[in-house]
Amino acid sequence: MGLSLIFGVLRVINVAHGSFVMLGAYMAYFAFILWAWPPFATALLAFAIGALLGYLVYIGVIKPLNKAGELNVLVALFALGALIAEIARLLWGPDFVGYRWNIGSVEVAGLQIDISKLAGAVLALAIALSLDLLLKRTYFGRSIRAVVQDPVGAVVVGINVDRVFAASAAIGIAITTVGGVFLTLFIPVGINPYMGGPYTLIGFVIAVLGGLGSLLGAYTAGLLLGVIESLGFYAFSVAGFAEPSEMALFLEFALLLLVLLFRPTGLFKL
Amino acid sequence: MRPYIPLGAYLTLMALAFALPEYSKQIASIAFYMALGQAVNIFVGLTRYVNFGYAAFLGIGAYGLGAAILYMPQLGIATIPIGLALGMGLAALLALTVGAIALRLRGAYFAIATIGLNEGIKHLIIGANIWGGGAGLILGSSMFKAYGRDLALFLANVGSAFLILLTGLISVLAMYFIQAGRAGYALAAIRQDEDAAKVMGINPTRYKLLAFVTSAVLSGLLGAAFFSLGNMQVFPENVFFVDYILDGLAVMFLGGAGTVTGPIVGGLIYYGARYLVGIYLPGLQSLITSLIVFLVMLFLPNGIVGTLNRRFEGLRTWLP
Repeated sequence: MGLSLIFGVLRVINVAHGSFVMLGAYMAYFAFILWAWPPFATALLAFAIGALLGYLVYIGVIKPLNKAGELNVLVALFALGALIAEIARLLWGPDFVGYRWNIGSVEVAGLQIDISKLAGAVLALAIALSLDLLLKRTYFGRSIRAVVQDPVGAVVVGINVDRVFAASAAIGIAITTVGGVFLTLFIPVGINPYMGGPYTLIGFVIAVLGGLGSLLGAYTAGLLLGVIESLGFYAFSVAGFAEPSEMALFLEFALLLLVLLFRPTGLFKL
Repeated sequence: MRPYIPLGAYLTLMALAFALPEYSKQIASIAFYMALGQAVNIFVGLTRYVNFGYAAFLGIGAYGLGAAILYMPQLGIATIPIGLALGMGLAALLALTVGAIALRLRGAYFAIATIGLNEGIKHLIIGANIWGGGAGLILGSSMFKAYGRDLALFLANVGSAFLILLTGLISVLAMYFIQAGRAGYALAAIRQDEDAAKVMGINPTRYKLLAFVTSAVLSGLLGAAFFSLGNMQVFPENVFFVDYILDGLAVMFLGGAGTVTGPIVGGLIYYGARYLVGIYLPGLQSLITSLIVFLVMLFLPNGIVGTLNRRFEGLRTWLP
């Protein structure tokens, strides 16, 4: 969703996406280990830090380079992502860490589901809905949509386009970081400085599936991709492949190419 | 433009590799960065599209030669040209498939499609367990058996350095011929305004695809020369390594995107920087790489050769 917002408004693809997911995951881990914070409290902190980082990225990278062309912004962001991952490795080491937040589980239709995972999914939906509301109902949201439709027109009617850009980058990266916090609920031991790579790919697949720039589309596409991935995992294990989880990741890449080929505007855009 | 200085640089290094075989490994490493920058440059420099899937072509080329050496030992020395052709062919096929789909799209969407390319191919090889899967291909003993010990070692040292330098040399020539011909004008028009170029009757996808496939084939050759021949092994985690993408971009932008001499200068400086960091701050090479790319993008977007060419009229003829 963060990816979608930034692209929708700024027309810039955040190729450093995975690194911000990784930062969020580490925040959840350290807050839980050191202060025993539940991940939902950490999410607020992550939102604040992510917003600050996003603002800095806009001021420091996107704004000065946007004039020089798309290529320069993309490469600089890509390098920034790698830089963040390397700094994380220096600070926290290359090993996988993780924690388990156990608050019981409920039984739904014969399946055991952890409450923590359920709450994570519900909260993600809540964020998607509130962001949608923000865009549709508030003055700030209207100015964002105005900038998306026509940047020059927006300037003419007195909207501070620069501020809208900065705010979108901040909110987009903040949401990405919060996404990293929630992610830790689903992967008990998988936090590592280089974990971002696959999530950048997954994030792009989701964003493209849902239609770049569409937020509820991104949420729906996220759910859809989850289903496809589990089905793919199941199908590949039945078919007897040695590493079904690796094949599931390949499936995501193939899916990305197919969507780009047939529906580059996304599945849900009318 | 007169491509004598860049061509001369590669020929000199080739002569050095033969004259001083004990240093051929170092020459091969320097040449690897130069040739990587050159190959990346043919696509990124000429089209100003960014490709984050570069390592996939290195890897697929390495696998082509690796598979030939391992699975066709009865052919003897002929496995090398066959393997190289196989690697380049596979790289071309991959580039054609991905390019035909993704190059019809504009910059941002194309970048998205390539970012998954590297991971996608790596997961396919590991997941479907083709070509040794996650365990990789180990070529040392096959090479010793097929070529004899001395010849195998000569090939792994001098032969690999020579092939890597040859890749760089061909890249310079490819860049020269593309830019000198019709495609060069078409690509320049596409770089400046793709819509206007389309109106003028240029088919942008065709020329972008030409640059993309050329650069992919050269990357495949480079991958085969460096990994399969030089290191005598191919591991998926090594050849599909994301860092090579940043390496290539670092070398190209350091020297100057779109210039032929740039990657040579960039490769030298970049190798030197990595070498020094490896001695004084071991383990920080990747950190420095991303830092270099980041700072160059912010403060020296035209690169060293590009900036020099802008400042001094006439230099462009000699440092193209």
